[in-house]
Amino acid sequence: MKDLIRVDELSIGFGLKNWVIPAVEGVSFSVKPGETLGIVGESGSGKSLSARAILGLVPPGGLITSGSISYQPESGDAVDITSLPKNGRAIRKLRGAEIAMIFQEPMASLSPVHTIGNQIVTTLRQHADLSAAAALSRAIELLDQVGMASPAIIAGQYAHQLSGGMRQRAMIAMALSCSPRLLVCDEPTTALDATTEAQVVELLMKLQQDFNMGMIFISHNIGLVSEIADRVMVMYLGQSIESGATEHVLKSPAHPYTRALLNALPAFAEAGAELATLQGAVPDLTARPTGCSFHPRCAEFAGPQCETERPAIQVVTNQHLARCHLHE
Amino acid sequence: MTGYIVRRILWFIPTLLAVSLVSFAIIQLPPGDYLTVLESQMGAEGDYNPEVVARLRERFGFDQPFMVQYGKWMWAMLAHGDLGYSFEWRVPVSSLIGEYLALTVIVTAATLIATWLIALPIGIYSAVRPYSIFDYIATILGFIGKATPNFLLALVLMWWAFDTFGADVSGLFSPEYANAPWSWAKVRDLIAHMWLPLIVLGTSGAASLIRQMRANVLDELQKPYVEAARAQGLPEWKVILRYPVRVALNPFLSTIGSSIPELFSGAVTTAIVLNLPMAGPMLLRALVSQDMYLAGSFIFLLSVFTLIGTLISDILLTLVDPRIRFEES
Amino acid sequence: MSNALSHESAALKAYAEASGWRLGWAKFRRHKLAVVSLYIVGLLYLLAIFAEFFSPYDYSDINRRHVLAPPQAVYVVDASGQFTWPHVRALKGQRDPVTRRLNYIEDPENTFPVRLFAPSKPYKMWGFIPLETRFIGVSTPNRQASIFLLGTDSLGRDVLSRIFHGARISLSIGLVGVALSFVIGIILGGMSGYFGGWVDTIVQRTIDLLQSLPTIPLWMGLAAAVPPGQDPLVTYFMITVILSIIGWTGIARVVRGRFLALREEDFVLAARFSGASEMRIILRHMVPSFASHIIASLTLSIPEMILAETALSFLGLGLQPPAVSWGVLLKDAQSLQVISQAPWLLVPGLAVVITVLAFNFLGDGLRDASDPYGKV
Repeated sequence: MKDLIRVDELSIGFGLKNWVIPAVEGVSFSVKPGETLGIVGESGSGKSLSARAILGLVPPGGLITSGSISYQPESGDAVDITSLPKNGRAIRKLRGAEIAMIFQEPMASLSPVHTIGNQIVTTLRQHADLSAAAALSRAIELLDQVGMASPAIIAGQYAHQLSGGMRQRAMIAMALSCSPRLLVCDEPTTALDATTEAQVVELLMKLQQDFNMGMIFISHNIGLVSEIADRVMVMYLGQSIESGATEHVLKSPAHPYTRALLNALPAFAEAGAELATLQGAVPDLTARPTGCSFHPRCAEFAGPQCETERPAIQVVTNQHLARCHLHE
Repeated sequence: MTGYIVRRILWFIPTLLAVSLVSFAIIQLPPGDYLTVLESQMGAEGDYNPEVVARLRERFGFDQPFMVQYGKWMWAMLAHGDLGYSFEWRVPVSSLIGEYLALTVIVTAATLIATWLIALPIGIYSAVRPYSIFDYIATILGFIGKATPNFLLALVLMWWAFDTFGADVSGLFSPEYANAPWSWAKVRDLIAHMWLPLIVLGTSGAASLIRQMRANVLDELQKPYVEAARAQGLPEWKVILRYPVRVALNPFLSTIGSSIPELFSGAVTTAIVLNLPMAGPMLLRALVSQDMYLAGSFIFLLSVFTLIGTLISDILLTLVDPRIRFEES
Repeated sequence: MSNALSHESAALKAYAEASGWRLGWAKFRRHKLAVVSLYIVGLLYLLAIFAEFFSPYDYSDINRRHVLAPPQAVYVVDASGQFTWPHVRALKGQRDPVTRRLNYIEDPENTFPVRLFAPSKPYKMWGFIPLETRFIGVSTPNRQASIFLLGTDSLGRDVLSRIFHGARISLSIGLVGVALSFVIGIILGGMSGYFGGWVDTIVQRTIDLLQSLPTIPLWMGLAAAVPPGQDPLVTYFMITVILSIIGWTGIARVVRGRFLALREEDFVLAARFSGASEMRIILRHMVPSFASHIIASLTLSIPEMILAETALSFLGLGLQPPAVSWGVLLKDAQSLQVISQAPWLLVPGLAVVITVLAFNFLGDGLRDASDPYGKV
């Protein structure tokens, strides 16, 4: 099966007066229809930025410095999203219609002054030639599909009248309104409590199957990602440091950072052992360490080359890649 | 929501009472009264007649305590729409001030609308293209507009128009219409004369509205829902107009309330400089000659119109902003 | 590690001890327009304080030979095109044969060099220091020599000197008025915020009411009550009182808002738990923490007072001649006839605009700097 989306050696930088601070460096990944890719990383790892680039939504000041993002439409040739004009007609035809996105803060991502129904209708009518009435009944249908108890009432309500979980369901309904082929979820459950999180994740997985969507699920929580994703990519300071099938990465993590993330999870730590915490904090993008970006925090520091030499991507096993000197 | 509006309207009643009391107190402040002015005039003319003065004093109740005088004034107003008697013009106040107040309200309302039509697009554009040349020019003009008193702007524009067109552009009507009865031609004449007071009155208001709208939209543009709207594939103009601008309109609407008092204030000084047949020159004259019922009625009614304007803007705001609408219910 | 930690905490401590004031100053200095405005405001007050010295003439000197004379330019090139010492040209009066109006033309042959620290007629600074030097003047004191850089008024008085003198009232009325408003505002606003309950309701309703009334008609009414023909000083204070009676509301709102926010803050609670008295809590803990914010709001209220005084005096309801304020000066420029003949009489208006602009920028800068959560 052809890849739905294929990101190749993508680099994004932020221009300051005279120099460009790289925020994403040489990241590559791909997603097939019906497949879920999980992207894991702490804040500042460039995971959200990479995802936004897929929709052509690099924030002001950001610039794609190299690489390509090719999207394969249902029919016809693949398009390189990086070559489309910003906010132009071509990219807007993809946004919301073929590639949809769910954001972290459902409250802040919904308009405070429009009803839920109104917002879904706007998206629907942007991409399909629907009458207002038809769009509204479709919107109610969608709200029903995401598990809202009384969808017709919800459609007439405002974001501030809903609970956090309901807001995120409304966001999901809006994202799914035009039956997208790829769904990008940027930390969709971070703002939710654990029970609601489980419900939303379950809903997303079910909908993915129903629609046979490709899905990119971004989270800082490697445990959560491991439940959903077929494949996982771990990012650190703008680079992909490990990627592979979820079971490979979980069972035999190749990068010390991934190991550290996993050891911090109760479910993965050895029974009786103290939960490990990752020491130090993510360095600022402007103060990237020399050599391997992770070396100042690395528990398996392997000598001077970690400080001086940037590790290249190494193949650990089939389709399991890691960027670490330990695997040379 | 209805509850809020009802409460807001009910609150209007004690406010009116307070304002009438304040207005009446202000015109009672000067030492002496109109009759002292009259006495000195009569004295100067040599036909001083204490009997006449005493009779007048009794008729208008000037020798009674403040609250009694106030009560009489209020009662006459509420019962008969009688605002008192203008000593200087020798006619009832209510027959005198109607047209002046009406023109004040018309010019003020026209200014408010014009200000909005100008300030909204400029404010939005400035926010969407911040730090552009256009934005800088708008900001600088805005600051200067805010710092220039109405009467000074009126003087400068009047001088400029005189210098350029060689004509006196003050007044609201051409001489042939000034005392003519109302007709379509007179209305057209009024509109043709309105541009100068409109610019003078609108500039400072427009300046602060532009700054406010710019700041509000700029704030809203940072919000995630704008990004979310873009992610829905909406064209940029729709993203901006439909979401951030719509949200920014709410705090903006609430500024009508505070801009109305300023507009009425400005209308008074501007009318004096430009010699407009509005409340300003009459009020000034009445104050100077201690024509107390006339002055008091002007102060009171100008305040009442301001309060009504604020009331309308508050109600509009509740209707427009769902957050207020539901919090209050 | 522990070493690094102690290092860090030392830095943090230094940061905390660098007090709000110093941090605020650092932030303020980044606001270029505000810094420039601070200098302008400083200069204006300097000119006002030493008005006698900086004025080329006595502000009340009547000059019958130069009635409504236009501003004289300072030339650095003489009639033959040579660069010379800066000089002004003598004004020659010519009566227009048709309109009988006196017009002035500059005589390029008859020039007077401009001098700094020029000798002048004796005068008294602040009414008691005798001086015979003025900041600027012409060096040959003869009957034709004159230096009216901004022209003269209908009595031949120097407009520039009158603006400098007018600054005394116009600039000080802002300060005095704001100080008075501040006293009213902090008492009522502080009570409102600190006690809450019905006190709060009454004060808030009063503020609502005053803020929804058109101020100019009210001010006019109050000012008309000031008995005419009094000592200018009495009128001055009555006008300030009138301005403050309506002007205190904005400040009271700010004070109340700060009190409400602070009442809930941990450090006030901590002080209360440790048994400090209410008064001590207010003075020792609450007032310092919002002083900077208040200063910013006060700065932004000064121009409003200046504008109000100008408007009232312009309408003839504020200060009366012979007192000079910018509003009183502008009153001379009330009719189109006068302005078209002598547009320089509008220059005091420029002084008002510059002052108000400078105070607005300064206030904006101070407000940004006083925001403890703003970007450093």
